Formats: sequence, structure tokens, C-alpha cells
Amino acid sequence: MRVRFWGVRGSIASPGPKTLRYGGNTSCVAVESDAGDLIVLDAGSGFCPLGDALMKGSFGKGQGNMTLLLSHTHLDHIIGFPFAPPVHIRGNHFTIYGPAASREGLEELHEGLVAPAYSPVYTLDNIGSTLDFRRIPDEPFVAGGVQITAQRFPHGVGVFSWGFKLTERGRSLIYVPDVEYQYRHGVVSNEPTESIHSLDEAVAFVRDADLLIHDAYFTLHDYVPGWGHCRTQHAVTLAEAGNIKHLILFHHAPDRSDEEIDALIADHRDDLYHRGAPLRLDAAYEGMTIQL
Amino acid sequence: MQVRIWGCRGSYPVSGADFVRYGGNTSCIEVQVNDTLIVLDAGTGIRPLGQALCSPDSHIKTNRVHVFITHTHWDHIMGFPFFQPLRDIDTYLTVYGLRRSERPLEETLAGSLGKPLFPIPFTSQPARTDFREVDFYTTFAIAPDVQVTTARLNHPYRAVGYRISSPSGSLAYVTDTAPFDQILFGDEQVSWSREERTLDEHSRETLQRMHQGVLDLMVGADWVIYDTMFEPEEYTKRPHWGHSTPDHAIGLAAQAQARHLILFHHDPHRTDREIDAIEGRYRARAAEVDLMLSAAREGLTLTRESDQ
Repeated sequence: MRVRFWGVRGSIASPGPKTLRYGGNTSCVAVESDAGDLIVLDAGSGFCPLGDALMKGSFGKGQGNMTLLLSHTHLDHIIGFPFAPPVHIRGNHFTIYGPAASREGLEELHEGLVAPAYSPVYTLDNIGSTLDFRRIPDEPFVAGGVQITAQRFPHGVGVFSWGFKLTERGRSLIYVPDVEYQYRHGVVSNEPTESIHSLDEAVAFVRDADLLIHDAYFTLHDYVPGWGHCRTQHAVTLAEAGNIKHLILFHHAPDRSDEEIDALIADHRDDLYHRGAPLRLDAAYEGMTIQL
Repeated sequence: MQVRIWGCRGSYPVSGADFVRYGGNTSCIEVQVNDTLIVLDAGTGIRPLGQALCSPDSHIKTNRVHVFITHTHWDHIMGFPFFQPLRDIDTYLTVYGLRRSERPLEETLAGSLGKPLFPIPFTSQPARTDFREVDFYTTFAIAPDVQVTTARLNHPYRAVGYRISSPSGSLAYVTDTAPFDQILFGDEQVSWSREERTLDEHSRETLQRMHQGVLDLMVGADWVIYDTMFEPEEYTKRPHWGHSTPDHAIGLAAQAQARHLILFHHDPHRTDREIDAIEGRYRARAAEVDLMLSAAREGLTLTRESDQ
């Protein structure tokens, strides 16, 4: 699998000189399988430049095929979809897996996204490509040659976000963009029981993966309990406990400047080095490409 | 009056080395008239504006904010939940937008900027938020020295153009809009084909009324901020998108005898170098009709004094 980051930011796009190197677009990661299948993780504003790039290939000819996995439907994970050119080309095919009680619910949500009040698209019927909405299955499923396993993670009170595990030819990557572990300050009774809650429970899901792309919204110093995001140290702890080879800190807070991300990474690497830990650690940036 | 641009990108925010100088944030403009604070649109540019307003060395000391929404397409509202003054219990916000028979403005805004697209509805944040629905072609005062006039713009599902008038300056904010000759946009979607279109008499009259209304917003204005998303050849291919060109804007601004035209709502693909070229080319054209011209960029600040 070949992984490329198109949007690495959380909450809202934050373009500008302070975020130039890591990038200001919201969540979007493209995975090209060894067999040539395209699987895209989330459709934040990074989905727009991905769409522009895809137009140079089969998507520009109306022969493109994409599996889109939506972790959840907060706007920073779906807003790019209606704007991307390949979506409007007849012949292209999108299989969209998302969190909803039903397939119809997911389609209805996207219908709302392009409704006349919010978008000149007016209705999904005007979208030229074929959209095949699907509820994320509880059992593992396949897209092309890639096996996909989904798991609910807690994302603030009463909200969950899916994490995905992609495996091909014995290589695997895990994507957990939005998670706050063990949130116990408020009422948690609305959380679905199928969701994991603690870091310990998450270890089983991520164990032995080659690559872990993980929420890194908060640091030790600016953590706000209940906002649905963890601290970067949680990602490191999980990666080490799960025997991960390479950890990518992802979903940076909109105000985290390039210099701050540099410093954050340096601190974590120092800590790993002094403890003799073998974990490789990087921060996601737009354009970052990893071959698995 | 002081006008400052916080976001000038159209359609969706863009990030990267090609968009550093003009900026990648979507529509948001701050207008300050003495102690009155006005915000035009709530695109992603409203987030850095909110941070500036809440910083200890903020340039304005008021907790009263008037937010005018041209229309509720995503690029004009998506920053709203991230406007930091919403988290302050002392903030008193009035949100103005088009009155629509089918759905209250509050529902359109709060209904979308809450679950399942956002963690919490922005109306349940600590600030006090009122909604005031406006009609086209009206004038009202929001402070003894500040008047607001509205007009209808030619955009899918309709949009509102605003003029802010005060003794210290006047601003016309005209985005998003198509020109007023070829296609009439309303609430229903306009199907478009390359064949010649003929407009019925009622449509022609409506367009004429809109044309006059926009001229009225712009007449003698110090600044006209105008939707110039397209270059002429792009417009020819997409007249049904509801956007204009610098040529359209210069024609109207000159006719209205406005002083300074600001090209706004840049196409998301337009690089800094391309905008430089557009600004240079059209600045020369505008000078011929005695019009100042600038391309909007984040941080651009306009006062009568700075324009001299």
C-alpha cells in the first residue's frame, strides 16, 4: 500500500504562513493498494486537491473507482466531497462507507450537505458520478485486495468516530483520527456499548500494525477534557503498547504552528531515544507519502 | 470606517505555498465604525478574526457584534462555530440574513452548524445570539452613525448585497453574484445549456431591478468589494455558476462612480502569481475610468486615510 496525506488538520481548515509546511487542509488520506485500488480515508478540505490530482488519471475520463471510508460526519471530515471535480464526472464510481443507522441515513446526510441553502449543487441527483452509500459493517469487509476492519472509538460525550484497519499482503495501517480515551467527567451513558473506551481496549485493535495514523489534537499543556480529542502522549503510549512500527501524529489543532509541531515531534523523539524505544514517530504533513 | 479582509477565497478554503500572500480562508470582512463592529460573512476567515478580537491587545473594545450573512452556502458560514467571542458570556451577537418563507434563518444556521456536522450547536455557546431577518431593498440603522442597505444579488437560491454607510466611509459588499443580463437565478435551480436563452419579460424586469439595486449600493462608495471569481473566458464556460468577472465589476463601479474596487472571492485554484497578474492588468483598465483597484488579500486594511 502507498499512503499519501492530502489534509492533516482537525476542526477547520487553517491556511496561512504559520501552517505552510504541515498544511492547513482538514482530514483526507489516500491509500493506493498494491493491486491498484484507491481507498480514501475521510473527505475534509484535503479531498479537493486530491480530486484535482485524480482528474489527471482515470477519474478525468469518467473511469475512476474509489472506496471512501468516513470516520464520522463532522464537517471537517466530509466538507470536501461536493467540491471535488471527479464527483461531478459521469462514469466515476464512489463507494462510500460511513457511520449511520442505515444506508439511507448516510445518503440523507449527504443530501443535506448539498441542499440549496448550503450548496449550488442543490441535490445529489445533479452529481454526475455514481454514489453507492453503505453503512459501515460490523464485520470485516474487503475493497479490492484490501481487508478493512472498523472499530468505534469514543469522540466526546455521546459521539463516536470510527477507526479503520487496512491490511494487504501482510502489511497493515490503522487510522484513528478523532478519539478521546476514558472520558469520565460527564455522562457517558449515550455511548454505544460496541465502542471501546480506554487505551487498554484500543491496544488489541492496533496491535502489530506497520503504521498508526492517530489523533494528535492536544498536547499535555492545552488538553481540554470533553472535546473529544486526546493528547499526543496517548498516541505514543498506544503505539508502544501495540508494538507499532511507525506512528504518524495526525489531525493537528488548527492553531498548531509549524514551529510548534516541530518542537512537539522533537520532544517525543527525545523521550523515545532516552528510553531506548524503537518506535519511529513523525507528524503528518500535506504531501507526505509512505510506502508500506 | 476601517475595513479589513480576513478571508477572500471563494467556494472552499485552500492551503499551500501557492496561496500564501492572498490567503486561503473563505469570505470574512471586518468593518469598524467607531465602537460599532460589523462582520460580513462567516467563512473560515472569521476564526482568526475572533482570535484577534479576544486577544488581550485587541484593537476594538466592544462585546457587541453585528454579523451580516450574504447567503448560507458553506464557504460563507462554515467558520461560525469557531468564532471565539461565542465562548464569552458577555458577547452579544446579532446575525442578519435573508428572510425566507420556507425556513427561519436561525434554523438554517443553527440547524446545520450543530449535530451531526458539528459537536455542539453554535447557538448553545455562552454568547447571546439574536437573529434578524432582512428583506431586499431596505435601509435601517444599527447605530446612530451607521446605516445598512440591502439589495438582491443574482446567485443560486438568492443572496443579499449590503451597503454600510457612515460619515467616515461607505462600503458596498457584493458577493456572490452573476451579472444581470444572461441568467436570472432564483430559489429553483437554473438548468443551463449552451443554446441562446430568451428571458421572459418578468425575468428581464427582475434583473433590471437587481442591476439598479446593486448600483444603488455602490453609488459613490469609498469601497466596493465585488465577486470576481472568474476571468472572462472562464465565465463564458460557467455563466450558470452565479459569479462575475473583473470586467463586470469595473463596469458597474465606474457607472456608480465608486472610488476603490476590491476584487474578491478568488477562485480556489487561483495562485498568488495569477492574482498578481489579474490585479496588474485590471488596475490599468480601472485607472482609465478613474477607479482605484486592488485584489483582496488577507490583512488588507482600508481607511480613507490609507487610500490617499
